[in-house]
Amino acid sequence: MKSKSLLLRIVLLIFISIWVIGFIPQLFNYDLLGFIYPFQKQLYSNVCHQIPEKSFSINQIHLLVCARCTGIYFGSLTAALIMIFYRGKLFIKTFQLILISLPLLLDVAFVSAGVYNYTKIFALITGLLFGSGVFIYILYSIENLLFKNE
Amino acid sequence: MNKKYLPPLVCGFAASVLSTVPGIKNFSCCLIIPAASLFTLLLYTKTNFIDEKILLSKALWLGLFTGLFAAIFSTMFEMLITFFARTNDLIESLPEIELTIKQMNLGIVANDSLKLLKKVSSEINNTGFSSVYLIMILTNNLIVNSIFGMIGGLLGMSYINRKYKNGVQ
Repeated sequence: MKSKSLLLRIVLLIFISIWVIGFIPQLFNYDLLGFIYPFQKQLYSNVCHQIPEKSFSINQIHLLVCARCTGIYFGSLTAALIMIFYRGKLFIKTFQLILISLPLLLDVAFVSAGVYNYTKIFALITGLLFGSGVFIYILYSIENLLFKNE
Repeated sequence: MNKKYLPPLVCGFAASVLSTVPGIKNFSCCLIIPAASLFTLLLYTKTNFIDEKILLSKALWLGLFTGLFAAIFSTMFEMLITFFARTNDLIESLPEIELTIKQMNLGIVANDSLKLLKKVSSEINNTGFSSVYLIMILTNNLIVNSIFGMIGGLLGMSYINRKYKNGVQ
């Protein structure tokens, strides 16, 4: 793998890791940073409804995003991590991305329509699929555009 | 107006309207702003009759502008709704934040943050406006919407550039 491409993947992994760490309150030392919790919660409320019943909790403390968003971000993080060790380019067609997104969209639609009840695990899995798919889809395009001559 | 800024303005405005509608935010979570950026790029290529690959810098800029416009408009809408309703998500989630702070035993500094939020809450209840709240949500919106706008820009670029494999249509 070319060094520039690897560098790009590492930078993306770092950014996603920071974002993921940010929504897990349990990873913070609040003895020193106790004042940031309310603002941290407010920050993530921009991207997620944060409904406690739809969020995972560790030691009775809820994560700052719902199960589906957790899945999306962990999916991106996992894909970013894999792409560090994977030598080469992974290509996902637009049609395949839509196919990967379909479980998430259907789950949202069915839960909203009341066909079945919301389950955190299913939301997490559909989010994982979507997040990893979108990451690979975007990464290929960036690399193709930046390093097409290498 | 310059055609360069019109698509981000239109899509940013649409995204901010959608994110204000009750229920839509729960439905689409973090997907509104990236989707708006994607549409910005599509609109940009249509209005400017662009028939070539979108550059990375262009996609990031358009995504960033969509996010910034969305941040400004959604802050305006949020403040307007808060003014009339005298409540908002922050006030409604305050008891939960208080409970979590107690559960996690975050200490005196966290309690000070909580006091600040309670002051914000009482200001909003009394007057419908709080300058601290305005600064807080504007900063939050600018940071988060810019990031997600750029992600949407990258997504849009990926989608559009697929048509031009190896630079040939």
